Amino acid sequence: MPHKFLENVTYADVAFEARGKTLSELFLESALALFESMANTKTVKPKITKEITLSAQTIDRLLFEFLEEIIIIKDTDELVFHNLEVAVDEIKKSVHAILKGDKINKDTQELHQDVKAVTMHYFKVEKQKEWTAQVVLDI
Amino acid sequence: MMNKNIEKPKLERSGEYTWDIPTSYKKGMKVPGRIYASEELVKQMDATVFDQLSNVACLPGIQNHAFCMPDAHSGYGFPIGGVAAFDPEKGIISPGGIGFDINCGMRLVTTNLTYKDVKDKLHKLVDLLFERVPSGVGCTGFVKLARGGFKTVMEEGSKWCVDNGYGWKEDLERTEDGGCFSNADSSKVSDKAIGRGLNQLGTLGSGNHYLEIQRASDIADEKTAEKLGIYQKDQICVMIHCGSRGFGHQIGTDYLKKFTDVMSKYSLSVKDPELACAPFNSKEGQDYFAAMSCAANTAFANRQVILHQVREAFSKVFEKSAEKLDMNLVYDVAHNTAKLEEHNGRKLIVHRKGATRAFGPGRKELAPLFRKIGQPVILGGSMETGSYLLLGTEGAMEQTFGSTAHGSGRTMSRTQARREVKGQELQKEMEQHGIYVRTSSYSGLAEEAGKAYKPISEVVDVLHKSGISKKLVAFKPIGNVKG
Repeated sequence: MPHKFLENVTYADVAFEARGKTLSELFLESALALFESMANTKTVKPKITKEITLSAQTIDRLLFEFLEEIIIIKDTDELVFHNLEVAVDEIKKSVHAILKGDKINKDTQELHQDVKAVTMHYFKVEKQKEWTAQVVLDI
Repeated sequence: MMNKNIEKPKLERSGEYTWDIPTSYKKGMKVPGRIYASEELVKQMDATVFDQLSNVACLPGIQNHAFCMPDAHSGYGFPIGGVAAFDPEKGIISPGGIGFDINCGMRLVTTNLTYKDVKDKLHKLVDLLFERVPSGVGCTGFVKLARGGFKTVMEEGSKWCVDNGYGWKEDLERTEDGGCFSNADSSKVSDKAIGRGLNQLGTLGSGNHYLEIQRASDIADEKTAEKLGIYQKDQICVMIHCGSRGFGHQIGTDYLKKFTDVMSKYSLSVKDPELACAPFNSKEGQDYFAAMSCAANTAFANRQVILHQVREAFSKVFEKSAEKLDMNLVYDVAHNTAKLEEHNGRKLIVHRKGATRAFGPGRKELAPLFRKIGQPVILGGSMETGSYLLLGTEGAMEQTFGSTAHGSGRTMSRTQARREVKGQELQKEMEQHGIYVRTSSYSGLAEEAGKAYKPISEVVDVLHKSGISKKLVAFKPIGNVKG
């Protein structure tokens, strides 16, 4: 499974592990895990498009800030998300993503938890046979 | 993180309800760790709590002990339920010792209604509160502010609310620090944080946040409870639990990253990245202290605006003004803060994360009524069990830098609770038990099931018997708006 939620890793919050053959896949799966923590993505229509362009000093920090940016958009533009396209440049340590989602509406969408922060708690990005990330989200 | 590879240390029993982790447990510990718990509660704590507490004990400038309250569970950096005081000259300030949800806190309000008065109108009342106090993912409030106005909220806290018609003047003296941390400076807050906070005033959010209608079920000291406006069993009160929402979280994240980048400049190293810190008296430390205070003030204002909405809702349902319903604030107490306080003649920067200030009688920071009886402490339990009102004590001043627990503490992860409990079924079961609950998220409701929490009465017993708080009133829930 390209991403899965981890049980009994954190009491009060949500943890997930994401995998990808490429960094772009890893970022995509991490973002999808974040989307699913906030809402059932199937109940969110892809009506509104948002773009993210970021670079960082390390790949770890790039993933951290990418997920953080999604949370900021959720609060600032009052959106939940359906899906996304992501391209990561490993050399430049940059990411460009196009997110699709809709205004939050508890009458038409199945909403889950309000994710408020990405944490550095046991946060890791590793490359062995494939890229893996472990992330704990603050609820 | 509940790391199963961590072994529990051999704890030294230092009192009937205190257990110490000696400095020999881990290299670099400057003080011992001290856990307040019964035998049963200490057994239930996951091993990571002890590991995290011993990491806190390694931080520069820490005084006496790294403390852990009986409701503790593992957190990020500090355990939830952690208390640590640092020398402001030689010590640090750490967002990991405060928590992301800065000034998450509790507010308790009285009414002169009894259960009999409310019973038949409970659904109408909870439905109206659910409509008037937004909850859940990305919820937005009715107070619309431009950036300039929001900056005033950051710097003035509850006072802004009272000035703008969202509260009564007397609410201020019944709020910790009058609802305003005076060292707030909005220029230390990022645009991102402001963007997240602008539309969230007056909202509950999600997670473990709630607005609950309760009835007093047991009064331990009638004379003192009456001074706080609680004079009979079955009297209806309202409890509000929420914090600084996305705004406080963004300030936490901003400074966690900043501190991670500057620690080497100050020759600081920590045992967990979530303990990233800066010297309290450095520019970065002072900037965070000022920004953290903005989040604390916004959280006070958030709960104040929610109180306004609660008063309006009760007034509409019972066709009487909130004044005539005696909807007085008992107290508003903060959970996640760092504050400069005087203890034994010394200024210290006291971090409380998932822990409550519990000042005893005589403290000059308290309003005259509380200066006589001690500061009210509000302990929220799970939505199925109940909550408590306690008082701060001399014992807390002597033992824990005037600190106590904040709730009942989780024993089960959210994922496990969601697997074991179905939200819709839980809602029906709770109604059969006389608790009407409305929620924005059934999965969120399942995660907050009573079985996911420690029994609050055990936590309260430890606080009372160890002398760091005094039991006053127990409450049972009858209606709940779940974030």
